[in-house]
Amino acid sequence: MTFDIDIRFRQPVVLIDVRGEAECMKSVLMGSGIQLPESPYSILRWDSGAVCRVGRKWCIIMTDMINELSLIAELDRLSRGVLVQCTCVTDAYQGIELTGPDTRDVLSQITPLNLHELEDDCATFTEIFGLRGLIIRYSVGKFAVYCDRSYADYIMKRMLKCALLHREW
Amino acid sequence: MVPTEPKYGHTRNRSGLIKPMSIRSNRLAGGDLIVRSQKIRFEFNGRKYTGFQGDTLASALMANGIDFVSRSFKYHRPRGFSASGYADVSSMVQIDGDEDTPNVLASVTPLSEGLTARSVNCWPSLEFDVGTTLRLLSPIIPAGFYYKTFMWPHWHLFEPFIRKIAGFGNAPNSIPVRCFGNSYDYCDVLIVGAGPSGLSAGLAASRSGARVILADDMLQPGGGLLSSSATIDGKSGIEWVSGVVEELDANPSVTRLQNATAWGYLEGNHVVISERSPTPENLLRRSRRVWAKQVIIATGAFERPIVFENNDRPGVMQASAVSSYIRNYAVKPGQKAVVFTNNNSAYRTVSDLSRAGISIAAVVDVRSRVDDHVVQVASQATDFYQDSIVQTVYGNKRVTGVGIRSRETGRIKRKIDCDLVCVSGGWNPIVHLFSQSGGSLDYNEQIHAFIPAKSLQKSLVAGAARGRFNLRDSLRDGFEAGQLAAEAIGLPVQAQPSLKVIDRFDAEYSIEEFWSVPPINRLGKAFVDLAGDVTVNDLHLALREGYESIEHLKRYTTAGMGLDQGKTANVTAIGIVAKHAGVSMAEVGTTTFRPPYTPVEFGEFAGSCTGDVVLPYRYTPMTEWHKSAGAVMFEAGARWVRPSYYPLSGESMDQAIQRECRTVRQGVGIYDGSPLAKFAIKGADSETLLDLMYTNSFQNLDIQQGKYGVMLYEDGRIFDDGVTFRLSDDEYLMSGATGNGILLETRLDSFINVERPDLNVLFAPVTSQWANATVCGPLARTLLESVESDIDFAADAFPFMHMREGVFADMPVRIFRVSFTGELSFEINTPARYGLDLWTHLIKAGDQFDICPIGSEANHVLRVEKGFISLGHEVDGTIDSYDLGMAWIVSKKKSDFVGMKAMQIRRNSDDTRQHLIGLLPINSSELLPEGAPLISTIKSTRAEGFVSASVWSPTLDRTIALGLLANGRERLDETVYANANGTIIPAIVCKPIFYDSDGRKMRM
Repeated sequence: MTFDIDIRFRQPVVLIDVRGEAECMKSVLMGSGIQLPESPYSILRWDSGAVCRVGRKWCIIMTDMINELSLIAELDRLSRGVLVQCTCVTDAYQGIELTGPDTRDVLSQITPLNLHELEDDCATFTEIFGLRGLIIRYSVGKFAVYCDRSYADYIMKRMLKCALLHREW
Repeated sequence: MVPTEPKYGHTRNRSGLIKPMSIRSNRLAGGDLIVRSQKIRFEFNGRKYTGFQGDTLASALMANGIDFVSRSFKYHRPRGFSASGYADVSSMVQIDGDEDTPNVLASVTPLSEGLTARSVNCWPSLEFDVGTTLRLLSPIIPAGFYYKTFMWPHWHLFEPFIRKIAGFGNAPNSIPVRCFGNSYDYCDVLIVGAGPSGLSAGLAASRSGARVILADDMLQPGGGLLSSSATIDGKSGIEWVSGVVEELDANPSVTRLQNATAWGYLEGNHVVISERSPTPENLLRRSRRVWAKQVIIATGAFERPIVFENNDRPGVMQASAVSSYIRNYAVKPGQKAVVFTNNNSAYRTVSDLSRAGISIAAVVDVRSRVDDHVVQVASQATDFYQDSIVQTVYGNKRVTGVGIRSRETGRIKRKIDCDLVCVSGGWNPIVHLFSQSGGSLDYNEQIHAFIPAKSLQKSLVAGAARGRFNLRDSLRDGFEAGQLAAEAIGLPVQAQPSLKVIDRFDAEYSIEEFWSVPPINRLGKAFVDLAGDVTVNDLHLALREGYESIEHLKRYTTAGMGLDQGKTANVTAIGIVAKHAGVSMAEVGTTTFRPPYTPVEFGEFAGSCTGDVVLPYRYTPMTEWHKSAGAVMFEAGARWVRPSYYPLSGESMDQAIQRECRTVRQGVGIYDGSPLAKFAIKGADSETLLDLMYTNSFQNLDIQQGKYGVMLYEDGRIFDDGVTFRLSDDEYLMSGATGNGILLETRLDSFINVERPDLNVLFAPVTSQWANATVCGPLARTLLESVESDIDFAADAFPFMHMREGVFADMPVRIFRVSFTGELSFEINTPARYGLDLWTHLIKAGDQFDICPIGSEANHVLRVEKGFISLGHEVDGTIDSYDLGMAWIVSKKKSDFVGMKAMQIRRNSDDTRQHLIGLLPINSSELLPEGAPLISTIKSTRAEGFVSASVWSPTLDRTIALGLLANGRERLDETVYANANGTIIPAIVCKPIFYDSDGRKMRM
C-alpha cells in the first residue's frame, strides 16, 4: 500500500529571478505587462505563467518556454540602470509536480514547513530534505517543488521513497 | 521424508515425534479488547500458539499459560510479566522474521498472524541458561562493579567477556521489509495520552475548533477506563471511550494517533512522536515531529511496586496490571493470589480477582487503619492482614508462595501458598514529558508522589499526570485543560458538560508512604529496578560509599536508567534513599528525565534517508556521459560528484592520469567544470562590493574582461579565490571554488543585506544555471575554430582573461579564457539544458584532434606542475597571500577590504611565516606523501612545514611537490626532508612553479 500521489518532473518553464526593492520590481514587471503580487509568499497566475513573490524583495517569474528570449530581452531593457536584477534561472531549477489526495502526507515528510499555513496560490522557499527549495501550493492536492537542478535526481528519488513508490530502501 | 508440521498446541520432541504440549489455558470468558472470532497464530521460543485479535503478545502468552518469558540483564533470573504497558520492563523479547527487532516489550506488542518471538538474555535456552551461573558471582558484581571488581589486573582483560554477556537482544541481520518514515506536523493543541483526561481535553479543544493531534501510546484509547468498572452517563468506560473517539474521528481537524509514543519534548513546544502502527501499512514506523501552540500532557500515572525479596519472580505483578489482563484480555494471571498494598487502589484488583474466580489467599496491607469500604472488599479474601508486609516470595521460575510478617516483628509470621502476588505501592504521575519540557516538580505529601509544578513551555498537565487519580476529577481536569488551551490560542471556549460518573472505587485515594522491605538474608535480592537488576542492597552500598546525590547514585547503580527511564524505579529509589538518609523526598529530589521516554529504533531517525539517498549528491548535465565513458566518479566537495579519471581498458589509475595530462600538454583535453560556484552581481556599487570582498582592486575592469581575486576571512586568512568578469556597466559574474559555493553565497548575502545594506548591489546564485565544458591544450583553439560559431577565437580577438558571448554549435554560450591547467584554455558555458549536447558536440568535433576527457586527478597534476594554489592543499586555513608569494594580489591603494587589518597586524609581527615552495625529491621517482612534515635535518623532530601536494609529473618525467616551509622563499636549493611515517625522503627546495614559468602557453 502506498500513498495516493503522483510525482513527476515538470516540463521546463522560463524562470526569471527578479530581485530589488518592491516598487522597483513592480515598475519593471509592469513594463512587460506582469503584475507583482501584493503580498510576499503569494502567487499571481495567468494563462501562460505566474509570478511567485517569494519575499519582500524577491520574486520569480514563470512562463512558457516560447516566451523565453523575448521576456529576457524585455526585462533586460526595462531593468537597465535600475536597481532590479533579472536573472534567467530556467536551467538552475528543476520543477517536480505532486498531485493527489495524499500530497500533503508526502510533503510533510519532505519539508518542515508548516503546510497548514501555506494556502492556495502561495509559495515560499524552504527546506526540502535539508536542501533549499521552492514550494508552491496551487490547491489542496496540487503542489510543485522547485529545487536546484543538480539535486533533482536525489530529491525525486527520495520523494518517491517517501511516497513508498520507490522500493530500494 | 518431509516432517509433518506440528499442529497448533503440539510440539515435536527430540525423536521427531509429535506430542501435545502441556498448555494450561488461562482464558476467561469476556475480554473487552479481544475478538474471539479472529484467531491469530504465533510462535514463541519455537512453539506454536494461538491468541485472538486484540491480544498483546503478553496477554496471548499468559492465556497460553506462559508466564516465564525472559532472563534478567545481570543475574539472568527468571522474569515474567510484572506490569502492563510500557511499565512492564521485564517482558522483553526479540521479534524474529522479516522485521527482526530486539528489545521489544511483549506487553505492548500487538499480536499478529505469524508473529515469531523469542526470549532474550538466555543461552542455550530460556529454561536452561548458562548465564544463571552469574548468580553465584553476585557478591562480586555489586553496584559499580565495573570500577572495582574488574580493575585488577586490567579492566580490558574482562571487558570482552562482560560486553558479550551484557545487553539484551541481537541487532537485526537484515533490512526490514517495510520502511521507516518521518514527518513534520503542526497543530494548535497536541494532547499526549488518550485516557479519561486526554479524551476530555480532546473534546474540549476540538469543539472549540482547534486543530488537534491526540497521541496515545497504548494499542487502544481509553487508558485506565478500559479496565474500570465505572460508568459515565450510564455508559461503561469502554462505551464512553467509543463515543468520544467516534466524535473525534468525525472531526477533520483532529488527528488521532494510536500506538504512538511521545518520547521527547524539546524546545519550542516541539514534541517527537514515534508511531508504531502508521498508515499506510507499508510503513513500519514513523517519527512525527510536532510543533504545537499548546501541549496538554495527559499521560496518566504508573502504579509503582513495593520492593521486597524476590519481587521479580514470575507471578509478582502490579495489581492494576492484573486487573487489566482480567478485564481487557480475559486472561487469568494466576490461580491463587495474594494482594500486597499500601493504598486503596489495589482493592479494585481484589474485586476483579474475585469476579474472575481467582482464589484470593490473602490481602496484606501495610496500613494499620483502612477505610470501611476497603475492609468490605477485603472480605472477599480468605485472610486480611493489616499492619503487615510481604517479606519474601518463594519459588524460582514461578511464585509458589509468600512469607508475610507484621511490620513490627522481623520474623515471618506465616507462609501462604499462591502463584500470583498483586502489588500496589501507590501511583506515580507520568511526569517525563513535563520534566523534559523544562517544567519543575514538587513532591506531594498527600499522594506521596512527584507532581508537575511550574511549566516553562506552553504546556498544561491534566488528570492523573498531575495527581488527579479520581475518575470524576480526571475527566473534569482534562476538559478544563482543553478549554484553557483553546482560550490561550484565541479560540472560543466550549462549556464543560456535566457527566454523571459512578465508580464504586472512586473514594478518596488514600496511601501510606511505604517503599521497601529489606531482605532478612544478606544475599537476598529485592529489586528496585527490574530492567537493570538493581537491588535495594545496591542502593545501600552506594550510599555507604558516599554517593549521596540522587544523580550520582543513579549513575553508580544504574537505577532508573536504560529501559526503565524512571517509569517504575526512580521514585521508589528516591523513597528508599530518603528513608535511609533520614531526609524528606523533596530534599532528595528527582533525577533528570531525558528523551527518549521509550526505546526508539534507529530507523526512525533515518526515516527515508537510507540506501541510495543517504547523502544528497549533485550531478551535472554531463554526469551520465561520464559514467557511460567509464569514469571513476568521486565527491569533489559540496556534494558534487565528478569524474576522477577515465581509465581505458586495462589501464591503471596512474596510467590513465598520465595519459590525460599528456593529452592536455600536447593536444587537447576537455573537462566538466560545471560545479564551479557562480554568482550574478548587479548594481552601481558592484565594484565597491568586489573591492571590499577581494584583496585586489576591481576598478576599471573593461566589459568582458576578467580578473583573478583572493578573498580573506575576517582574520586575514585566505577564504577563497576565483575569477570575476564584468558583463556590462553594472553587472559582473563572480566565480569561486566548487566547495565554497554555499559559504560564498552566505557571505555575499550577509555582506549585502547586513553589513553593507547601503550598497546599491544585488546578487543571485547561478551555479546550476550553467553547464561548463572546458577545452584545454595547445590544440584547443584549433578545435573551437572547427565548430560553427559567431565568436572569433583568434588570440588577438579573444585575449586571455576575457570572455565572449555568442552562439557555438547552435547553442547560446559564454566563453571565458581562464586557465587552471596552465595551457590555452576556453571555459565554454551554456545553459544547463544544452550541457550534454555541447559536451558531445565537442567530443565529436575533437575526435580528429584525439581529444580526451580528463578528470580531477589529471587537473590536480597539471595545476601542481604550474604551481597554482588549491583550497584544502596550499590554502590550509593558516596562510595568507604573502605566504603564497602573492603579494601582488594585495592592493596597496585600497583603504579597506575584508581581513585587511588582521593580515596587516599579523604581517607586522616577528613570527616566522611558512612560504609556498616547490620540492624536487632527490630520488626523482620517489613520491613525497602529501601531508608529510618537512624537517631540516634527518634527525630533526621539529616540523618546519609540510608537503601540500605531490604528484608524478608526466611533463617533467619525475616526481614534484608543493609545500609550505618556514621562510621557504629564503631557502631555495636547500635540502629538506619529508618524514613519511619514519621514512625520511630528501628533497631540494625550489620555486613553486615547474612548467611554463612565464605563462606564455596559457596566454597564447
